[in-house]
Amino acid sequence: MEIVRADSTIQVIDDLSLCSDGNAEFRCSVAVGPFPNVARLPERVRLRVQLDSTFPYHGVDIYPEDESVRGFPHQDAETHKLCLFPDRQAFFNASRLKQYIDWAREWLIDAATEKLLPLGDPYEIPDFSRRDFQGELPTELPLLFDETDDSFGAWHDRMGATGYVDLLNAKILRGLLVSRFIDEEKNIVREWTYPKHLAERRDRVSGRWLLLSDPAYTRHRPPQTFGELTEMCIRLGVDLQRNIRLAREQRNRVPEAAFVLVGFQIPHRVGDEVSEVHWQPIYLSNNQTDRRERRKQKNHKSSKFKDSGLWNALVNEGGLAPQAALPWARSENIARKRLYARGEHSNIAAYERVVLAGCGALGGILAEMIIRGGAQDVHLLDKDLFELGNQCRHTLDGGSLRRGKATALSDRLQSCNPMSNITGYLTCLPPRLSDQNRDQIAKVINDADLIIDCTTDEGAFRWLDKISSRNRTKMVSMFVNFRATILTLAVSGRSSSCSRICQRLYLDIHSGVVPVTELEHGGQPNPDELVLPGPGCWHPTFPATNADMWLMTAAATNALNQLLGEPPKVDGTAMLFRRNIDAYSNPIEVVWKSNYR
Amino acid sequence: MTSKNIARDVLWPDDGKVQVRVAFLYVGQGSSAIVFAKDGDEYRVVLVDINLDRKVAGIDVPALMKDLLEGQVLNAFCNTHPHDDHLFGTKELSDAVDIKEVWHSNHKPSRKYGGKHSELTALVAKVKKKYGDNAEIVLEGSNSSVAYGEAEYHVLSPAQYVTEEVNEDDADKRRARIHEQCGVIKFGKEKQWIMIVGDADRCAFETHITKYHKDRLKSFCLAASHHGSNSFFRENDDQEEYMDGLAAIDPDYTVVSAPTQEESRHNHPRDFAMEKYEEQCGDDDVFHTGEERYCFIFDIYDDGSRSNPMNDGGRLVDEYGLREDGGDDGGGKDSAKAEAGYFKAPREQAGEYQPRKYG
Repeated sequence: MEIVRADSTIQVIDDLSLCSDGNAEFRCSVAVGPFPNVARLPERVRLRVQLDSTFPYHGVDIYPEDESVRGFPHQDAETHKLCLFPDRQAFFNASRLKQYIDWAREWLIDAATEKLLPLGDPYEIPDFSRRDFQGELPTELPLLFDETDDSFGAWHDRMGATGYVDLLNAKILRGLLVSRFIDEEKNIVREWTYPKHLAERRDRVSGRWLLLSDPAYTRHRPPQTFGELTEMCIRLGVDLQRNIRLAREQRNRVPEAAFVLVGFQIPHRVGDEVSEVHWQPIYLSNNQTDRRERRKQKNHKSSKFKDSGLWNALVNEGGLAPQAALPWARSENIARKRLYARGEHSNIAAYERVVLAGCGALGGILAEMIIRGGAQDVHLLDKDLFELGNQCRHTLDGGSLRRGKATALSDRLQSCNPMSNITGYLTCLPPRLSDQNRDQIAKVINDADLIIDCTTDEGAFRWLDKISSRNRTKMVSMFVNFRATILTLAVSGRSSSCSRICQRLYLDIHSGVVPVTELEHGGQPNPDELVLPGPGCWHPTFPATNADMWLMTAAATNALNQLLGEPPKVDGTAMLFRRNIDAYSNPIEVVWKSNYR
Repeated sequence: MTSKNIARDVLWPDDGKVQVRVAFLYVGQGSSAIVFAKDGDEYRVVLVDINLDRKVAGIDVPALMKDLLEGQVLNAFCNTHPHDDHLFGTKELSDAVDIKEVWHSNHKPSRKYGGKHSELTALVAKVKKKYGDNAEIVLEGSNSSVAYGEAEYHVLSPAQYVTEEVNEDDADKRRARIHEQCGVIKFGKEKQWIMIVGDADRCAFETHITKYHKDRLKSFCLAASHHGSNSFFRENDDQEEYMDGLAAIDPDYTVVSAPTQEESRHNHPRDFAMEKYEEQCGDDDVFHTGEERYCFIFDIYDDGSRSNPMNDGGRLVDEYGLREDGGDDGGGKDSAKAEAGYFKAPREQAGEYQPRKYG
C-alpha cells in the first residue's frame, strides 16, 4: 500500500479493509486522460480494488464504481470488473498491487480514447455471461454450433429473419448441437455438418432462432434484459415474445427446456465487414415444465394450465418484463477452423483420409498426436490385443485390456477429436480371407490419401507399399531400432515409393554414407537384452521407455508435418533421428535427411 | 482413365488469345512436344517427336494424346530424326489417334540401325493411304516460314543438299550423321518463336544452319538439343566450344528434355551444356523436365506478346506416367491409369541390408 500511496496520481479513498468473504479491498481514484473524452468518462474514476485472501498468488480484481464506466470491451458485463493482463505478467513483489492499478489506469485511458478494441484487432464477442442464472437454467448444457465465414452465405441477407431450429444431444461432447435451421417457409437454411457419431439423433429437441445484427446493446455490452433485447428486435421487425412463446410450446423432453437462439452478425476483426454468425442461446422453462410445477403448487387440473394460460401467467407474473434479466446460456463455436486455429498439424490434417497401420507404442503415440492435431478421417489398423505389459509405453490403459489396440485406441481418441471420424480395425495386414472386414479394410486403404505404416512388419509394409504405389497414395513408414535410439522416417515422393526410399536409405547406411552404422540402425539385440514377457508363447520386446518413444515420435511427427507441407516432389525423403542416451544433451537430433528417387 | 480429362485440362488453350502454345512433355530419356496453332475457333495440333520411357515414369504420350484430342484428328506428327528416343511410341500413337500428316527428316536408315524406324515407315504408309500422298511432308530447310492456321512454322533444317549427301553414305556414316540431318523447326509468328532443334549437333549448326539462317534463328524459347548433351557445343571435351548457334538463337528460356543425370544412361543433361544454357538464359530460366518431372508450357498471344513460362506441377506425369514393370497384384482401383502406375519400385537384391524394426 505504501507504494500505491506514494504515487501522487492515485488518491486512496479508504483504507484496506477485510471483507466478510475473507478478501480485502480498498477504494481509490485515478485520473483519466484525456478529459473531456469521446467516451464521456469522468476526469477521475473511482475504483474498488479487491485483493484475494491468498494475495499475491492470484491476481487483483478492479471494479470501476462510476456508472459511466460500464459496457466496455474487456469488461465483465455484469460485475463491471476490468479485464486486465494475465496475473503472471505482474511482479510477485511489493509493486504487484501498484502494477494492477497502473494497468487499470491504462485500461481507462484506452476506454476514454476508444482504443480498447482498435481497428484490425481480433473481434471480441461481448460478455454474455449471466452469473445470476448459474444453476437456475433448465439445462447446463452449452449450445454447440459451427459457424465460419464459409457458412455466412446462408445468413448474410437474413438479418431480422426467424425460424425453427433443431438441436441434438451430443454424444461425446457435453452440449447441445445445432442440427438444422429452418426458416418460416419451412426451407432449410443450414443443416447438420457434424460427424454422425457426435450426436444422439433420437434425442432431438426444437427451438426458435432469430438473427440480429450487432451483439452490442450499448457500447460493447450485450442486451441483459428482455427490454433491451426487445428493443433490438423491434429495430429489425422481430417479435421477441412470439418467438419465446413458440419456443415454449415445443415438447422437448431431453432436455426439457425452451430454446431461443439469438444470432448476431460479427466480423473477424474490428472494423471489418461482418462475416460470421455468433449464436447465443436463451434457455427458458417450457410449457411442460411450467404445467407440472403449477400442478404441484395447485394440486389440481385447471384450464389455466393450457399453453395460453401458462403464457399469460408468465407475462402477468413479470417473467418477461422489460427489466427482467435475460437467461443467456453458454455457447461455443466448435467449427473446425476454430478448434484447430491453434495447435493443428495442418499439413497432416490436410490429408482427408489417413490410414495408420500399426498401433503399438509408436503408432499409438503418433495416432494421438495427429488426431489431437486435427486429422479428420483416421482409420487405425492393428492385429494385436492390448495387454497390461504394453501399458508402460502405450497410451491405452487397463480399461482396454484384451481389446484390439486399434479399436480401443479409436474409441479413446474419438473423444480427443470429436469433430473427426476415427475408426479402428482389429486385423492383420494384409487381411486374411477369413477376416469379415476384409473388403471394408481394402476399401479404406484404397480410399486413403495418406498411409502411415508403423507396423514394423515387413510383410504389411510391402503390401501397403504396393497399394500406395498403385493408387499414388502418399505413404509414410516409421520405426525405431531396438534401443529406440534411432527412428527412421521414410516418406514417398510423387514418383518414388516408400519401399524405394527405404531401400535407397539402407544402401546409403550399408555403404557408410550415413552417419549411422548398420549395427546401430538395425542390429539385432543380444538375447540377454530382450525383455521376455513370460514363459510360453512369448515374443521378445525392446527396452525403450515411454519417454524415449514420445520424444522420438514427437520429433518425427513435427518433421512429417513439415515434409507434407512442402510442394509435391518426385523424390521421397528419408530421415533418421537419433536420441541421445545422455539425458542432459539435446534429446533428439536429426542425423540424416536425404531425398531419394 | 479417370473421369477428369487431365490432358485436356492441363494442356488445351482455354484463352482464345493464345495463338501458339508449345508444351514440352516429360518423356524421360527422349523428347516430345505438343504444338497448338490457332486456326479460327480451333487449334491445329502437332506432336513433335515421341518417346516412351518406363524406367523413369515418362509420360504415356499416346494415352495423353488420346485424352487431349478427344476424338479430334492429330494434324501432324513431326519426327525430327528417326532415333528411338524420338520415335518410341509411334505405333501406339498411330493406334490411339487419327494422324493426318507425318513430317519427317527423310533420313534413310539402314537395316542394321533401323530401330523403331519401321514404325515411322508404317505410319507414313498408313497416313498416305488415308489422306493421300500429300500427307507425307519431308522437312526441308527453307528461307521462309509457312502459314499454319493463324500461326507459322519455319523449317530450318535439314537442307535438301544435306539429306541428299547423307542418304548417299553407307549405313555407318548415315547413322553417324543423323544429328547433322536432324529436323530443326520453329513455331510462332513475327518476332515470337519457339525453336525445336531435336538432336541437331554442332556440325549441323556450324556447317549448315547458322551459316545460312543466322538472322532467322532468333527464338525466345529453345528446346535444348539432344537432351542437354554437349554435342550442341562440341564433339569432345578437348574441342573448343561452338557458341554461335546458341548466340544466334539467343533464347530467353531453354527447356531441357531429359531425366536426371543419375537416371540417364547417357548422363544427360551434361553439366557443361547446362552451364552454357544458364549463362545464356540465367539459372532460373533453364527448365529441366526430369528435375521434378514437370511439363513446361509457353504461349504466344495474338497481340505478339508471350506468356511467362508455365509448368503443370507434375499433373501429367501423375496421371500418365508409365510404370517400369506394369505388374499388378490385384485389389487396386478400377482405373486404367492405376494399372499404368508410375511409382519407382525397389529392385530386390539378395543379401541386402534389412533393419530389424521396432515400434
